[in-house]
Amino acid sequence: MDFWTALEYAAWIISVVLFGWMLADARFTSSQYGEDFLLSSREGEE
Amino acid sequence: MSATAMTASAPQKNALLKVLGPIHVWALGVGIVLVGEYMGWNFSVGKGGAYGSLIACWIVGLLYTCVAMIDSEVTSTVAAAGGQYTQAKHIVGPLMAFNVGLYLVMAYTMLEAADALVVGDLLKTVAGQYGAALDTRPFVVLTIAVLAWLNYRGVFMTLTVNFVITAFAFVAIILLFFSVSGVGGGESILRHSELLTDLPYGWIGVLAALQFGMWYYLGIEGTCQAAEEVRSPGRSIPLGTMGGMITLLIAATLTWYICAGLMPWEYLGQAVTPLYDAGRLTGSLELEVILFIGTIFSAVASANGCINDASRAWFSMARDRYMPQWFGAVHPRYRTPYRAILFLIPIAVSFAFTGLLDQVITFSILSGLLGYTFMSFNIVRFRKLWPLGSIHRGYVHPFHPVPCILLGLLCAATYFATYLGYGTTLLSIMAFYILISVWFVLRRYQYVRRGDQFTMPWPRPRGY
Amino acid sequence: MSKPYEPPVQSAAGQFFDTLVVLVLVFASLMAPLMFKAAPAAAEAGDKPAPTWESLNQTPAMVEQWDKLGVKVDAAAPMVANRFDYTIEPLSLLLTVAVLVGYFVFVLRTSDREYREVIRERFGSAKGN
Repeated sequence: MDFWTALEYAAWIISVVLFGWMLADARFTSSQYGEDFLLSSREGEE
Repeated sequence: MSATAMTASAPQKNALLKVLGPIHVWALGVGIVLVGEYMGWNFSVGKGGAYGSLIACWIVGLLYTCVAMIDSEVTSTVAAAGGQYTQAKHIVGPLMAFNVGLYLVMAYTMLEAADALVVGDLLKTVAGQYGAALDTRPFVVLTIAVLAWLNYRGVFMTLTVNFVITAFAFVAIILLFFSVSGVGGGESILRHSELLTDLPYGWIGVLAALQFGMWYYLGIEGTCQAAEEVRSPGRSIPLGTMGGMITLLIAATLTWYICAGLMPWEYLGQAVTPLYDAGRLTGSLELEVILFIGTIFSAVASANGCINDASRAWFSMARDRYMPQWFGAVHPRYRTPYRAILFLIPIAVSFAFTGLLDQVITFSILSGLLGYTFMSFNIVRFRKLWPLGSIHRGYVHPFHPVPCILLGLLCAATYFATYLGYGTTLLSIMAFYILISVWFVLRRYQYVRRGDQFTMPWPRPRGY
Repeated sequence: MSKPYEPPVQSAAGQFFDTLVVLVLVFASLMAPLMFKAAPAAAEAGDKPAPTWESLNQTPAMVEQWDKLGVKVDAAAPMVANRFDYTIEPLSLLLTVAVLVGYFVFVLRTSDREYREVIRERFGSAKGN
């Protein structure tokens, strides 16, 4: 496997890891906090 | 700072974090646009010749100065993450707001896809010089994934990074100018008198050039989306936006001056990376490398700003239930609209992989243009429903109503340019906005609380 | 005074479905122009004389820059020959104008109707209404 092929694989792997991390964190967040709290942001409030 | 803000408001309410200053606003606006100087603007040279492009650059510059002035006034008063979407909701009405929100999401997500493709193609070029055939797809995905991750983790870091890379890309253009023009010492290598020609298509070519002349500035109005996260929006948004506009007028004129003095117009009109080519023509390896990095940075900064803006617009629409409310969540730790960011990742990737770059870019430009058209009558209504003095404005733009009339006329000319270049695509995109509007009226609007949409502490609008 | 409008709560499946509708419409409108695209014009007869810089109307200064860019005359020929067609068809232009104007009129009129309802609910009925 040459350098560029390795780089391609690395890019795929890092992408998947980052995306996976975000998905996992989003799921974890939903389990830790109530939906009402997560959606409690309102426009125009200080 | 973020820690105190969190403990202060964490108990029952969840909201975006107010941490940004004027330089972040500048970085968001200029960051999205500057890639247009590195590539894309030069298609206007192909459409109308080098002089045609310069005329387009200034006419469109006027259009955007109007946009920046009008937008600064309204946004300094309506400080919400939805930007123009929230303006439309308060000033024109729900269906218009729904459309404006979609303009923003589509324009930015599609531009983000195009930016990511650029990063992939540049890396492919580098690999090609070493004799390797690189697959661009993993790098397109990686660009979007890394930037989305950055956005997910917090707006302060996201836009601080954007400031650094945007500033680098801007300084690279200045350096190139000093080097080729002889202003910084040495011989000028520019050859305008020998390379410039008459208008190859006459004046209709100049009109046609307006469509790609928009690349010089497309996206500067994105500064509004930061309004809910800026410490003092009444000051920072006008400052960052107008400062950004001045930066872009300088960068656009310099870019034209450099490139038109180095390349025959037929080449320039079809070049993929004109500023990088200009760097190559100097014969200096340092400049070539700086311009290459500048090109990559500008594309990354643009994609980064686009993720920020598209997710804010999508989030704001969900908060009002124009879109499914599930997307209206704020991350309790990072204080970002994390579900909107997450959702738009696969969308951007799929736009990038459709192989329809032309259509995607036209969709993006036209959505922007529809938004500017909205702004021209939006400000008229804003001044009529709440005359000066009836509410507090952070900034009042001068010469009203000249800017909005000018803006309306220039929009009409640019629609005509789009018709000349991409007539069928234009109709197809309009079909999308018409169908989705009907869908909103018949289905989606039933989920929206009527009175709650009006969130600003303003008096009743005049005449209603 | 009438009670404020109370919207129904949307189920998760309904939210998912609505998101899907938006996406389907976007991709459909991206793909649609492909169906109307005319087949590319057949290549012109091949027996043309080899291009020279003179036949392409390039001045010596331009030739020098093409050279520095590393573009040979054969590669430059199609770039120089590539010209846009700016003919205006009255019918399609009229259709485009009608679509744009019709769209904005529809959006603005509907928005105004909805806006009055928003204001009524937020500020109460106007006097004399």
